[in-house]
Amino acid sequence: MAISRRQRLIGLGVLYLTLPLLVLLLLSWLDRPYDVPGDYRVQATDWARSFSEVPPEDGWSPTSEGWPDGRRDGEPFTSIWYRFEVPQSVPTPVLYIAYGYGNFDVWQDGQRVFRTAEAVQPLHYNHSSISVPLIDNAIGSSVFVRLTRQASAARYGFVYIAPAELAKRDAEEQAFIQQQMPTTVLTVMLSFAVVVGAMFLMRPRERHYGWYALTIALWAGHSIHNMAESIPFSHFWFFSLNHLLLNWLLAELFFINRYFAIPAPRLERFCAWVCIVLGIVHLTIASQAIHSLNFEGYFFNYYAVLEVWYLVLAIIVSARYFTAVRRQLNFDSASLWLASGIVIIVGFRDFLYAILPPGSLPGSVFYLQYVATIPLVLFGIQLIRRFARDAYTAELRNEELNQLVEERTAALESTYRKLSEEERKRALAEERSRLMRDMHDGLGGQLVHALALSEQVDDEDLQRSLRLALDDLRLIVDSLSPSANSLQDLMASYRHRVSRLLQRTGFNVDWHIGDETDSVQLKPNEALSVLRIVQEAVTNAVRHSGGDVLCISVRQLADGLQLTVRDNGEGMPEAVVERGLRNMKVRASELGAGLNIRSEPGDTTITMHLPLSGVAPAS
Amino acid sequence: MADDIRVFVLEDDARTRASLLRRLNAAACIETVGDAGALAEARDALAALEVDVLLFDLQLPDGNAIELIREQHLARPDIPVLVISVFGDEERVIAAIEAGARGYLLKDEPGEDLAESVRRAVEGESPISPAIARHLIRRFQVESERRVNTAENPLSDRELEVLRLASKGLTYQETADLLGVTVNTIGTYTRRIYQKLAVTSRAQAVFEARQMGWMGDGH
Repeated sequence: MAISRRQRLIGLGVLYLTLPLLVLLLLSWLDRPYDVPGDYRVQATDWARSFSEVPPEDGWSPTSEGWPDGRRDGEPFTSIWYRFEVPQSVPTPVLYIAYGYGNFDVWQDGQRVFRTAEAVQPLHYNHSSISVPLIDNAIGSSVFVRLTRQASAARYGFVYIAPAELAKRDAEEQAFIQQQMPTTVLTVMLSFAVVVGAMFLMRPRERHYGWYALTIALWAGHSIHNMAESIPFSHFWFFSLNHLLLNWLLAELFFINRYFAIPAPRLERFCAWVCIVLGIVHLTIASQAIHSLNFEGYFFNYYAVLEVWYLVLAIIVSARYFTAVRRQLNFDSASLWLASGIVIIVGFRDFLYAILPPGSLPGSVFYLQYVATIPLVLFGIQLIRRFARDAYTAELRNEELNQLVEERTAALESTYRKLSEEERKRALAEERSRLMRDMHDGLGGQLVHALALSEQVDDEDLQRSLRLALDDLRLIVDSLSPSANSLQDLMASYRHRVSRLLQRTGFNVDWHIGDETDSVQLKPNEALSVLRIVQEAVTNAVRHSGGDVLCISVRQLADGLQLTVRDNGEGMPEAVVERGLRNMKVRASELGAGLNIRSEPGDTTITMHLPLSGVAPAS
Repeated sequence: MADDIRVFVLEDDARTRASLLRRLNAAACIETVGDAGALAEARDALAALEVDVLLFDLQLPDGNAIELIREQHLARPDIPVLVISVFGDEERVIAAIEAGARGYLLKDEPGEDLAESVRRAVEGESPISPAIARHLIRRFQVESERRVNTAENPLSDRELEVLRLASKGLTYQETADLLGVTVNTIGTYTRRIYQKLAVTSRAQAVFEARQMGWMGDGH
């Protein structure tokens, strides 16, 4: 069954609303101080902040005097009174004070029995709670407890009287939720910060890795402060830590916009400016508050503004995630969106917890510090996944690139070889045309001039010799001619030149120049040798054979060229055969060709066989 | 004699010129009526001379004869101009034909061949070599490709066939025998091909000039 995109979005929306409530329920369950039937724990039946409602003072006023370690100097103190009626059902009753730091006075039946933890041996004492034994006859008596703390912490936590066993267990639970769990969460967060920080160092261009590592480290600092009371943070620093949460939300906004590539520069600028302004206001107020020691009013109002802005910023962040979900609905965007919903709802709960009177909401701590970890961890997971994927892709690309480089290199080398070959050919062609020009304008004209001269002296031998020289020069020019591309072209020129001459000698010439020789290309020196051999054979036939039929044939066979010059004369004299052969054989052997002369009365055949390499045989 | 073919020879090498004149004059029906060794000299001599055939060497001390060929062809298109050359190599000869020449002669041809070629030129025939034929085939192929839009082939099938056979070195006689026509006809075909080449070349020149904006549309 296919689920449409719309259905997916609706499903996610339902999860967005319900998941935070489930998370809240889970946290409340973990942070349950009242999980034992109430008759064992004795709640304060009444409480007041007014000194007039309590038993007579002994003159002690709330100051920092007698504090265990004198921390948080300068912050005003406030006192809260709790009243208990201790029933008989409580065996070995102890007084349990969550967030037990600070001073307390215990009055039993109008008598002050002790003040501060140092006055008695506490059953347990850790950073978040203390339990002290009551005096033996506590059962049935009325007990007053005055808790004196710095103003910001006075309203937090709870005080009750319970059996020692139960108080011990509560202390352990408190230690778990306030000490061990944050430690675990912090360890996880810090490990992510280290991993992502390393990734940022490897790829500095991926700024969001840097953002992530930085903010997670700041948030971890906040957590350390919250749980490690022994570290002497200054009060001022404690205030700054609230701003870290603000900056963390801001960084998350930047992060989304870059990670999901949904730019919103104006929104980013606006949020950044609000955070900066709040920071400046905060600095001013906090410093004034410290100097005047009178910051209850400032503190509360400013804190409320800060909390509201947290909420607004968190909603903006969540909206951005929703944009990401609509753009690309996948595990990355959906999980982060749901996580942002959890942060908003839990943050809202914390806000209420902070402003409502103690006891209005269940739980003993702020929960945001835990759930804010969820998006952080999700970030980390997704960044690591993306990093792994990117690294894998980069590896693949590298291989492709390597292959490409090899191919390109091979292609370049081949091109270079071709180019140098072309260059060589061009140089040859240039040289050839220079030769042609020289012969043309110089040698040819001079030979013609000499011929004209020889006519005047009427020297037949000289004339013949000059004509032969001219003929040879024409063969050379033909063999060098760039327009005569094939053997067929060469033979055509030769045929054209000798046709009239042969006709005049009375020979009947039969030409067989195969069309397939059109595809035979000879180098200039080869062409010249072939032409000279043919010419020599023809000349011999004309001069010496005495026949009247000449057959000139050029064929391309499977294994090479075959040139045949055949006449019907009475055969060549031995001497001529030898002399003619000598020249032709030299030329043929230069060509690597085979030459065969068969001469008998009525049939003289000169055959040359030229093996062709690199020329495909005619099909 | 009054019916002799009147020939004018332009050749810069004096001895070669003398040899040519001797060979021509030795032939019956041919009479050389003038000769020159340079372009200017030839131009002056031809201004007041009745001739039937002009034989021009191309390379002369005072320049190339191509321009003179063009002038003569325009002035008296009926008088054939033949180029005299050592090799008959196609590039120079083609350039001359484009300017209006009717063909070429080899400088060392025996007297009878020379006379035969001159006679044929007067009768309207033109000699052709395989290299020139090959060149023309290629040239007109390019031409017909250029004109492909007008579906106009500059050469007839017969003319193309003549060129094809000439490119294989066949003589006019052999070509005529193959095609079943007279030798004269083949020579005439060749002359027509040359004329077309000259016309095409002029048209091409005009076309290119117009492309470059040298001439108005009135031309």
